[in-house]
Amino acid sequence: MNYFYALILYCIYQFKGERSIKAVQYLLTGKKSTQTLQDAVWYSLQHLYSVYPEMDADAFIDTVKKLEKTGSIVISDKTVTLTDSGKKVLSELMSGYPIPDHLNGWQFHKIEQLFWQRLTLLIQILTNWAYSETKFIPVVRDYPIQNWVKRWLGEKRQIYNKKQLSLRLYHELFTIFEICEQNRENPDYIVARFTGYQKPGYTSTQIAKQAAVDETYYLLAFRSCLHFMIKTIWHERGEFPILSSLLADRKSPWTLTSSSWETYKFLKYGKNVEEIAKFRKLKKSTIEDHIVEIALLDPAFSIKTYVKPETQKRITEAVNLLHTRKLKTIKDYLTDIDYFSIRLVLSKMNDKKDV
Amino acid sequence: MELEKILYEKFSYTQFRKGQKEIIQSILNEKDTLALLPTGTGKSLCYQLPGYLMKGMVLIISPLLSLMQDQVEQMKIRGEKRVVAINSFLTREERRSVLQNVHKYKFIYISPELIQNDFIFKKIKSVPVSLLVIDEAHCISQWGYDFRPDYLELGRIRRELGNPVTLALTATAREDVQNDIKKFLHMENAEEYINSVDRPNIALQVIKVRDYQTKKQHLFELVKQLTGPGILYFSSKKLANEVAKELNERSLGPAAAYHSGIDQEMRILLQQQFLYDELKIMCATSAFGMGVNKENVRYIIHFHPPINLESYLQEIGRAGRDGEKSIAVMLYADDDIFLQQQLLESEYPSDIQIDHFSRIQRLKNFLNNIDGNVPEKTAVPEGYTEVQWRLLWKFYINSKDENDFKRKLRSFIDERLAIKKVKLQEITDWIEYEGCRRERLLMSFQETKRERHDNCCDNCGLDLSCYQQANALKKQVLPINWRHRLAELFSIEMEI
Ligand SMILES: [Zn+2]
Repeated sequence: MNYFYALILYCIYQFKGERSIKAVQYLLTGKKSTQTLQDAVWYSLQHLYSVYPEMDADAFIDTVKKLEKTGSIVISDKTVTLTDSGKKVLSELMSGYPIPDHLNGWQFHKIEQLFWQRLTLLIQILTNWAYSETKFIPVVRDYPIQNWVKRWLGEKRQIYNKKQLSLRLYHELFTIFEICEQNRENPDYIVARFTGYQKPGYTSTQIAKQAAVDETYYLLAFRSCLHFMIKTIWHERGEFPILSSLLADRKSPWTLTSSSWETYKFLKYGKNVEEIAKFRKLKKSTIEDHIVEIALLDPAFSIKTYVKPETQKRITEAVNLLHTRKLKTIKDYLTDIDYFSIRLVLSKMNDKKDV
Repeated sequence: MELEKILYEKFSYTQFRKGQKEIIQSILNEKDTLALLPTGTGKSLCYQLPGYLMKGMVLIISPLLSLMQDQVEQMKIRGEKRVVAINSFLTREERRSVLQNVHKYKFIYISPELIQNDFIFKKIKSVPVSLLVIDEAHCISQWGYDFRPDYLELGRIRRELGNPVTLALTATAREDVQNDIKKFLHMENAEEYINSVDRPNIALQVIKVRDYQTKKQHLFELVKQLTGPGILYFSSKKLANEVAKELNERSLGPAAAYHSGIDQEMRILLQQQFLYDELKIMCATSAFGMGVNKENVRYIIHFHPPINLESYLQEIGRAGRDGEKSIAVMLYADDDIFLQQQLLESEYPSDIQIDHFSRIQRLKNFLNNIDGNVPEKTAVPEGYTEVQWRLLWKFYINSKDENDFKRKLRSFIDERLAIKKVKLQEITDWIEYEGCRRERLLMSFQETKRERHDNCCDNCGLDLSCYQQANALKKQVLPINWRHRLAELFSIEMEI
C-alpha cells in the first residue's frame, strides 16, 4: 500500500484537471493563500486542507514523477489530469482504506496541533507527578505551550489534588476513546504517541510499522481520530470538563491571515474596497483577495453587499450548467460579470462541512 | 574551596572531570581563558558553574541552534529557571518579552548573528555581563574547518560590552587557529588550558571495503556483533532512513533514523527511547545534536567518513562518556571521497543560485525604489539551505553593487573550498595511514600521543571480542492496545 499515491491521485481527481500539481502540494500542506483556500472550497477538498503539513517536498516531487511515468497522471503546462488507468489505481488503493471519516483539516488544522501538544504534555506531567518526578525532558518544547499548561495546572490544582486530577483525566480519555472506537476511529493511533513516566511515546514511523499500515495513512488516521475527539469534546463540554478546558481559550476555529484581518476590521467600520485600498496603500485586487478569503472562512460573512442576488443566481446557474469551477470558462460565459463577483459566489457555493 | 559543594548542589556531581576545575578557577580569578576540552567531557559546566559565583549575567554565544536548545532544556530540568536562548525558535512576542525582562536572566544563549542586531544588543548591554562565553571559538579563524564570517564581529561586541571576562571554547588546539582566536577577540593575555583531545577508552578502526554493497553487508555484520547501544553516521538523511528500516526488518534493531528531517516532537520521543535503552541504534546524519547526554553509547559506526578530522572527533566523542570501553569504526570505500567532495561544494551557493538571487534582488530593488525601502532578509525559500541563504544575504548587504557582490562572494567561496579540500585530504590521509591511527590523529591536532594502551587502533592491533555481545536479549515489542497503554501510563490497575 502506498497511501501517499492515493492521496495525491484523489486531489487530482477532485481538481477535475483544472488545477496544477503545485495546487495539490499547497492544499495538503495548508498554504495560507487565498488561492489555496479557494481551491479547497471550490473543489470540495476542505477535509484535506493542511492534513499533511509534515510532507517532504522532495518526496512529493519524486512521487508525482513516478505517477506520471506510470501513466496515472498527465501533467501539462498549468494543469494535471487523472487518466483512466490513474482512476483505476486510485480506486484500488482506496479500497479497504478510504480517506478516514472524520478528517476535517479545514476546521481543525489550526487547533489540532495546539490541542495535541497541550494534551500530550499534560499527560506527561501528570504521570510523572504520580512518581514524584519533576525533572524530565518535556515532549513539547514550545514555550507558549509549556507556560500555558503550567498555568492551567495551577488553576486546576486549586480544585483538585494531583491524584484526583490525574484520575479525572484518565476517565475522560477512556470515555472519549470508547466513543471514538464506536465511530470507526482507532484510539491506538493516539495513545501510542503519549509519553508517560519513563515511557517515551512511539513515533509515527514506529506505530505505522506495528499496525502494518502505510505511514501516510497512519498520519491521516491519527488526525482523523484527533479531529473527531476535538469535535466531540467541543459539542459536549459538560461531559468532558477537563478535556474541553484545554480548548477553552479558543472561541472560533477559523483564522485569517493578519493582513486580511486588517481588511476585515475596515469592512466592519463600513469602509468600501476603494477606501481601504487607498488607506492601506495596497492594490484594489489585494483587498479583493482579502474579501474572498473572508468569505471563504467566515460562514457568517454575507456577500450581498458585493454581489446582487440576481447576479448571484446567474453565476450559480452558470456553474451548474458548465460543470466547472474554472474562472476563465465561467467568465467567458458571463462576459458582463467581473471576476471578483464570480469568486465570491464560488466561495459560498459548496457543501459546507460544519461542526 | 567550596567549588565541589556547588558542583554537588547545582549539578549533582561529586567530582570534577579532568580539566574542568582549572578552567573554572581561571575564570573565577577573572582571567580571560582559552580552553579546549575533548567532546563529551562536560564543557558547558565550565561556564555554568562560575556563573553561580559571579554577580552579573553569563552571555553565551553559540552557532549551533539545536545544541543551544538542548543546553537550555537541560538547565531547566536541573531547576535553573533564569536561562533562555534567544534564537529563531522564539516567536516575536516571546523575544520581546525576554528582552524586556533581560535583567531577570542569569544565562543567555544567543547566536552570533542575532547578537549583532542593534536592538537586541542594546538591551543586552543594559545589563552587566560578568562572563562572556564564545562557544566553538575556532569559527573565528579562516584556517579553521568551520569559519563563520559573523564571528569576526565578536571582538567589537566584546569591546562594547566593556571587555568582560571571556571564556573562548575551541575544539581544536592548532596554533594558527588559537592565534586567530586571541587576536580577533582581543584577548592576547588569555590563560590557556588545552586538554588532550584524545579519548583513550575509544578504540579506532577503519574497514576498507570495495563498494557500496559490501559496505552495507559489513555494516549489518558489525551491528549484529557489537554490543549496543550504538550510533551510525550517514552523509544523507535518505540513507539514514533506509538503513534504519532495513535494520528493523532484519531484527537487528530496534533502530530509528534521527536527523533534521524528522519533526521535533518525534525527535524528542526518539531521544527518550534511546536514553531508556528502548532504541538500540540511532541512524544519524553528521552535525546534528543528539540532545541527550547518553553515557553508555558503546559504538559509533561511520558509514561515510566525515569531511574533516575535527568532525570525526566530535562524532566519535558521543561514545563511552561513562569511561567504559567503546569502539569507533569507519567504513570506507575508495569512491567515498568523491561523494564528500560534492558534499563540500553543495554547502555553498552555486553559480546558478548566485545568479538567481541577484536577479530576484534586482527586481525587488526596482519595486522598492518606488517607496524607498531597504532590502530585508526574508525566510529561506525552497531550493536553498539555511547556510547558503545566510551567506547570500551577508554578502549582498555588505556589497556596493551586484558585480561587487558576485565577485566578493565567489572569491570567498573559492577560498573556503580550498581550505576544506585540504581538510578532506587530511582525513583521507588518515584513513590510508598504516601506522598508529591515534598518534596520527593527535599529530594533526599538534599533540603527541602520551601513553600506550591496549585496543588503541586497528593498526596497533585490536581485540574485538570485548566489544562483541554475548547473545543479547531481544526486546519484544508488543502490539499496541489503547486500553492497556492508557491504564499503564496512568498507573491504573486493570481487571483482567
Ligand atoms: Zn594505535
